[in-house]
Amino acid sequence: MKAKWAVILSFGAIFALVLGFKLTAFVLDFLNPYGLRKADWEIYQRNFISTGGRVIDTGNENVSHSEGQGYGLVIAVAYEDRAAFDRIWNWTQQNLQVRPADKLLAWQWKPGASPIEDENGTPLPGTDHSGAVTDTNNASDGDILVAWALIRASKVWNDYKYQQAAAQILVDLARLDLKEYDGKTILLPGTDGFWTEDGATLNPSYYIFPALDEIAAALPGTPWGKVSADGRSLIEKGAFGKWKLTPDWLFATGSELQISPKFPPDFGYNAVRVPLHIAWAQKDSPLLAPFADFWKPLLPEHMPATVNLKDDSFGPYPALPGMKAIAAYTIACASKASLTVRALPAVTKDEPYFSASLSILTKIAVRESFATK
Amino acid sequence: MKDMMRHLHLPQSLLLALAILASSIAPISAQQQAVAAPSVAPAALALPTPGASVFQRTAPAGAARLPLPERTTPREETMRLPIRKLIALDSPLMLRNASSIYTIFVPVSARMKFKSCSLNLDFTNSIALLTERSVLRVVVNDVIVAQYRLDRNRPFNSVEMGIPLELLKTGFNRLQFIVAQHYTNQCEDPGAPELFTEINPDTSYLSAVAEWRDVPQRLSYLRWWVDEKLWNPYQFNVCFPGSSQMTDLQLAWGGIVTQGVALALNYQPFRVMTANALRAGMDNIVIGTMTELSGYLTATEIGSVNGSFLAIKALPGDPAHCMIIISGRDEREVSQTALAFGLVNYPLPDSQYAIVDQLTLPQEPAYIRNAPLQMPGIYSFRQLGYKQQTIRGWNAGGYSVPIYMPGDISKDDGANAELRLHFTYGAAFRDDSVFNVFVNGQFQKAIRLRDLNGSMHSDHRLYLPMISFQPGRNVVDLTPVMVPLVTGKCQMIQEENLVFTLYDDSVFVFPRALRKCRLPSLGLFSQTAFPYSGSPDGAETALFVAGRDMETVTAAWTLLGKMSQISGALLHRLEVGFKPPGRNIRKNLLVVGARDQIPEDIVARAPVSPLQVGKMRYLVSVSPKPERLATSPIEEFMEKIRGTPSEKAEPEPPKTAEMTMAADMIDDTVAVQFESPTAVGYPVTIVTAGSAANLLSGMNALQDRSVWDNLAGDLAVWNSRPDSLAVAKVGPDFIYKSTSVVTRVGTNMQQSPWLFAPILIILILLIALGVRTVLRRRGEKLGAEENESDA
Repeated sequence: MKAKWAVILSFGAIFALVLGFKLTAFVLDFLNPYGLRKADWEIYQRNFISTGGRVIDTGNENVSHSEGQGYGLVIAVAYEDRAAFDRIWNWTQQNLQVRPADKLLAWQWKPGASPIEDENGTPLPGTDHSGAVTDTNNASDGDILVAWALIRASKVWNDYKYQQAAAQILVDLARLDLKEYDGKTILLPGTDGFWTEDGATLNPSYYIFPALDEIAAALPGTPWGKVSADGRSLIEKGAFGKWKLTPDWLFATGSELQISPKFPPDFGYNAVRVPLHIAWAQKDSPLLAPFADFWKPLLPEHMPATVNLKDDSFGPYPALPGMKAIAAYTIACASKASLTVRALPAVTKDEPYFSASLSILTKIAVRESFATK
Repeated sequence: MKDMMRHLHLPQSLLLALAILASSIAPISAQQQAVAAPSVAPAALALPTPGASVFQRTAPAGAARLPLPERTTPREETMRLPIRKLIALDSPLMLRNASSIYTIFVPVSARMKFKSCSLNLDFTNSIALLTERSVLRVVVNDVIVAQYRLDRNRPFNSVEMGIPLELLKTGFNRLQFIVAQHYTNQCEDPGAPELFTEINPDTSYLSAVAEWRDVPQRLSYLRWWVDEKLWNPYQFNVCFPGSSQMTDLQLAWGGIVTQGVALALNYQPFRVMTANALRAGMDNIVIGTMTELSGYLTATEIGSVNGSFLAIKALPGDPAHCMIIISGRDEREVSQTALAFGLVNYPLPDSQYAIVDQLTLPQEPAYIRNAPLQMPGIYSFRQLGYKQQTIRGWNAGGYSVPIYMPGDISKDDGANAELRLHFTYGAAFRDDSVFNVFVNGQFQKAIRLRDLNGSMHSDHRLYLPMISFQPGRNVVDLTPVMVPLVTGKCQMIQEENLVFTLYDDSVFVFPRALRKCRLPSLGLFSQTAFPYSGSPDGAETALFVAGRDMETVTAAWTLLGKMSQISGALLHRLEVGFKPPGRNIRKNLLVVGARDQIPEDIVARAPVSPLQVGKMRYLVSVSPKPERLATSPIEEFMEKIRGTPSEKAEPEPPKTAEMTMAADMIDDTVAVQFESPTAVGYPVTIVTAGSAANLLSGMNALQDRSVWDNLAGDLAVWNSRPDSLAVAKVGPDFIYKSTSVVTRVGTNMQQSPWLFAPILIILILLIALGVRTVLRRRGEKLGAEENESDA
């Protein structure tokens, strides 16, 4: 009898505990619906950021890239964690900002790799000797993310050196990666290899609209405002498939836009960020409608990670939680509904880098879109 | 609104979130496994790398993103420079006597590479000249470039001559017109009046085809790159990149750099523009914080901005013009850079960039070009810029000593300035030889040079009345008139003994001058920029710019630039803004704007309303008004009783009571000065026009000497047409900074002497009545005492 009561009481205590936690969480969420979860950032730092400040892509052989460093910086400044921000920025500066002729960031760094040498046999500089840059080409989204984070940091912590570093990156990015094409200013994904006589290979997800808009405001007289406007036009025109979605990679030739023949014709891991970027910059943008229309009937169980825009078939993998967060955000914006940060699921300790990054970025976007200032 | 939306849509978002939550709990491990498997890497990992080796990076051609001007300037330019611009206003270019030289200086800018140059000369010679012996030589830098016979039968001449380019050097080139003129072969009077040739300076001109040189990208070149020696007005654009609406701070920055340019140009006119992007065909001064200018800088330059940053670069697509970068990390540093640029004597390094260190301005206004004299004071000629020299020969000219007087010296001053001259002269002068002293062209005193053996005077004292001096620039001319002892027809005339040396230790002793300035006076404003330059840094002046449009702003900057050229100082502590200053501000107020932009309360005390387009009347011409009306001794006596008319700060233009016409003032610019309605004793000067475009056009025309130098009275109206200036005196006077009741009553009495007489009579009557009453009481008291004593 006593054992029976003990079991009942134990279950009751556990239930009460769970209920208490849930209730506490509910109350907290109710009181601060747009507050970023501290736990998300702690998990992110623990799982993906080294003590030296390297953001590790755990899903891809633990490489690091400029985009990941950029995500880390944007998130750190959103959490107002200056120590983490400085750690990530210092590592980025010392190990990726090593191109000899400009201030752009080498896009990829691999652990265990040997430093690249120039024709005189001099290795590229770097302070983290556990690996090295394996390709000095830049990725313009990484450069933009880092510059954006630096501009935000200069405002949050009122430190000129961040602003200066951002301007240096952006000046060289404008010089090397912006090109006039068919009356538009286009953003090349990298300095080398995306521009041929036949046309330009473009990645729509590299148009990080909130970043471009903030950069244009912070650096008046520069072409970033036009890049942003022309990027929206690119996305409007570059829609394919049954659902009129943006492909991961586009090819601009003449005045035509095609799905790039060099890559899978998917709306997938790259282009999933396009609606995030659009909504973050302008939550009532009409460009969100096709994405919301596509995701609405599929969310949550049936949302695929990729869609083939040539035959409208779904890819074999389900969407990552971060991608689902983007879908929820997009649907809320397109339907003129509201969404709170706390309504989105917390980052789990097993979530991969890319998903966790998207998840936290979406929450930052939700906070900036919906929280009353 | 956002709150409302949140409440309205909460259930929907909750459902959405719960759905995501549900989906994210169960299949998460499966997803992890699935994600690890695909060969398609997410996001940036999909970047293709073209296999180019690291150090063989090829930048795409034509990717530079600097906002370029739409067109580039043609490098070659045809220019014309009237001789009138190289000589004093309204003075003729007359060559008299048997031998005469007129020298002018032709500017050649280092920015221009001349490809050809010629001189077109219109001259008229006397019809009494002996053609065979009368010649006009044109000499450039001591080399004869042309000779013309002065033909009595062809007195009107128009000739064109080429000037060899190798004779022209960068800087000021001496161009001399030298005549030998004779009317007879024997026993000639060399000063005969029929010996003359006149060159018409208005129709004679220099013309040149020149090419713009590339800008040397060195800051040390900047001082002479903003060049007064350009033949056309220096044009520049003040660029605030990306700025949609000009702020007060940008207005102030633009004002300071415009003044810097104006000071560098000395008295030459300029044309300033402003935009939020570069303009082709002119120098651009780009101002803003480092981030605002990032589109104009390289990453390396951005990295080097660690303070107030000044740089010079070639204008993109136009190496003949430059882009001057005035920047810094924040607005304070930008302000400091602008100030360093504005101070013409700030040392600039021989490099493309400079970080302006802590800029401390001297307490004393040592950086003023035309610093007025401090009075009382003793000044040697050396201090005043005179260089000791000996004059030789007959009609060999004289000495000139420029003096800058404070703007508020009073015409009421009865004091004298003392001149202590140290000079020596040669022997055997005829006894009508003299040493004449002129102030501003007006004869003052003479010293007779009567010692046949020559003499040295070490402390010869002369007294010059202070009323001979005007506010601002004065010129004291000291001219020895040396006549040979032996002259006469067919006599050998000895000139070698005609020598005169004026030593530079001669001194001026200025008394404690009466500092009382009667305003309004646009004449005083044009001579010295007083009272706006009363404090050399502009600390006592406020500038209200009534519109934010390009034309109004640049019109205001143009006026500031002109004022700094006149005062020779940078008005960097000027209070400047787009909002009217507070009502209680005790400053000299300048207002610039189109008529409909100026608030009505500012013009409350204006003697005429410049806001009423087409309604304002002004004087075009009237016959002179007699200064005194008295014609008989009785009337003169009565006039003495009335009092003499109050002395004026400047010759007073006729009153508008006699105005003769109303003008259509749509195209006109109006300047009116009057006492501030809110700050007693301080002036308000409004410069306005019917539209902002007309205002700018008028302000550019104001820079012309024929307009600026002739401003007078308290009302001036002009437009871009030549000789359009009309001036008038329409409002009451006031004493600058005079706020005391006594002074103001005194001023009013002086202005209205008729008021003074009855008040004085009443006062005398009252006093007389009082004295009479006292005396009567005293008498009564004494009478009573006497009666008592008698009793």
